[in-house]
Amino acid sequence: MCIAAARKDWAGAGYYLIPISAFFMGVLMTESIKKHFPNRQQIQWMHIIVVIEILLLFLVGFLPRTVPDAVVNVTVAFVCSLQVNSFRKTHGMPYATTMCTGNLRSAAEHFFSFAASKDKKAGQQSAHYFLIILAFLFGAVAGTFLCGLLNEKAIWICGLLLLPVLFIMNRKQASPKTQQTEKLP
Amino acid sequence: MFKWLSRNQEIPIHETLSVGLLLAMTGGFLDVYTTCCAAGCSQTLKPGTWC
Repeated sequence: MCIAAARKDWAGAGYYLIPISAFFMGVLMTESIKKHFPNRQQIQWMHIIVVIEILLLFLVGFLPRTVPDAVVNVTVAFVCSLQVNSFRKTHGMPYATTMCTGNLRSAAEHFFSFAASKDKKAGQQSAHYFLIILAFLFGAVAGTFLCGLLNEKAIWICGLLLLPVLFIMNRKQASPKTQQTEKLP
Repeated sequence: MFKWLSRNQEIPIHETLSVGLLLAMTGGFLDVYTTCCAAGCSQTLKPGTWC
């Protein structure tokens, strides 16, 4: 966006504001759902988020080619926003599921602690981050392959990937910590 | 290591590794879905409309 703005390509710069706004709206929506569906209820706010994600991803796959790219990009940015704002911790450690630079930083940081002080826990945490990064890379490779194969319909596979998340979260939610409401900076 | 990876009752279900791996896979998938990979171009386009 800033490159386009620096080149005085105002229309180009403005275009980037659309997915950024969608991301912003996604965070607002997550917070709103979190507020209206506290974790003490049978259906937790995270279930609702995942269901919305699945529905939107399936909807995107149904959009015809004639629909402008911006519509798809905005929807995907919105879905990413819902996901990244809802799932912010793994094993108590902060992480992101829609980008991997921060995860790589954390993996390297913990790896250094492990290598420098033989801290076993830091080694385990580093391995955990590396597994998350590998999963992200696997998703990107699978996405590239499937997009070539199925074009815009490939996103349905992505929706299917989220179904086991719903199943896992429904399977067990009795853990006391699950009932807590997350408050992260 | 394996103990670390296995389900720990202390960990909220949405923070488990299985959930994290599935969500990360989804994230990686979505990252490429709207990115034109052709010739290093990073324009955001939906699949089938590669520039």
